[in-house]
Amino acid sequence: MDFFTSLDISSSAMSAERTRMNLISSNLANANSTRSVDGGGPYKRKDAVFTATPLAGSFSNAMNQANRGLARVDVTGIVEDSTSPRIQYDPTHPDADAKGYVSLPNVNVIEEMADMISATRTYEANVTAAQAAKSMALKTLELGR
Amino acid sequence: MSQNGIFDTTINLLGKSLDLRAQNHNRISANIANAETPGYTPTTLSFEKELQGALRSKGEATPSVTHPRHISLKGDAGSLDLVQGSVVEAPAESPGLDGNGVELENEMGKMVQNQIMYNADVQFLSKKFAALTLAIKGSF
Amino acid sequence: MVIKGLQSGYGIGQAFPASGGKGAKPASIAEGTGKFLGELVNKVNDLQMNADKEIQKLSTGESKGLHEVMLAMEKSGVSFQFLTQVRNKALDAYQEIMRMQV
Repeated sequence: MDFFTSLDISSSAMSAERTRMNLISSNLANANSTRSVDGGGPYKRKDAVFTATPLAGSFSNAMNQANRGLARVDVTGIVEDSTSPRIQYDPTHPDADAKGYVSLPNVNVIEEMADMISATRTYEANVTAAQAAKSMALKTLELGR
Repeated sequence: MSQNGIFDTTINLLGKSLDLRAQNHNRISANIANAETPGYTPTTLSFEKELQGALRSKGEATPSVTHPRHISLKGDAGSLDLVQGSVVEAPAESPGLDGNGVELENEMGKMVQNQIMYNADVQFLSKKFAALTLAIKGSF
Repeated sequence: MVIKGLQSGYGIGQAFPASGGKGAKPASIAEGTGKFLGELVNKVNDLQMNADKEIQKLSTGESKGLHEVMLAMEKSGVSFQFLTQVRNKALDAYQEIMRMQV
């Protein structure tokens, strides 16, 4: 069997985690942005949706019993978190409403840091898997040496 | 030297084992890749019992398959070539809130073990072929 | 000058000691050499079968001892090389003797 399937799967996971990392960076950077891009209210926290998609292969690959259920990861969408924003009392703020309350983004910095650690850990695990596949393939080439 | 000629059963066994371990690595990579996907259950390829059965029953007149593309009967594989391994679902005991059942530490451990066994099989095959070459050449 | 045979205390007879003890001295050098080579081939064969069995046990998961398999393989490899060299040297000695002018 081939190791290129394994490299394909690992690299799909690495791109998915990188996308997630980008979203986390964006959330952390905009933790205090009271104006969003389209101008309607504070910044809303963004999240990535991961889906396990089956591998697109040849028919004989799909009929092989051992390849049943092998799935790569794809980011199928970026959703905005619809929980209500944080309200803080600050009448001197330029974006305060009539009663003096400011709507701040619904970004919890601690949660974002935990997500970032989890994304890093998964990324490293996938790098290790890709390195293992490469080393096994290279070791096989030594059979005839 | 049975009916296999100069390549005995062990060489065939090692070749088949390499094949199965490569497929198992694909599966473990898929598990690691989907470590954060909601609702994913990790799977593993189990083939050691089948290999044992194929080794024990080789040479007997068990219900065998006349053509490699025919589907074999259930139970122990009659010959070493037909061992395919079975995909087994192995979720963690405590899945996360989003239904994801992958435990990253388990998967890393399985991957390392698989890799070591694969490298060991390659080593053994090398040595066997080197011994055959020595026998043919008569000297180094 | 007495030329000692293979049954002497030194020499390659010690590489694979006979399991059944010394036993009676054989009648001639040729018989002793034949017996020694026969035993050597048997021992090499045993070591190779043992290595095969260990590999099978490791592949089917019955034993997890990687070191046992490596040792068995090395033993069978080295003993096979030893046998090959003994055969080569014996052949060379035979040809040397045949070249001697009567």
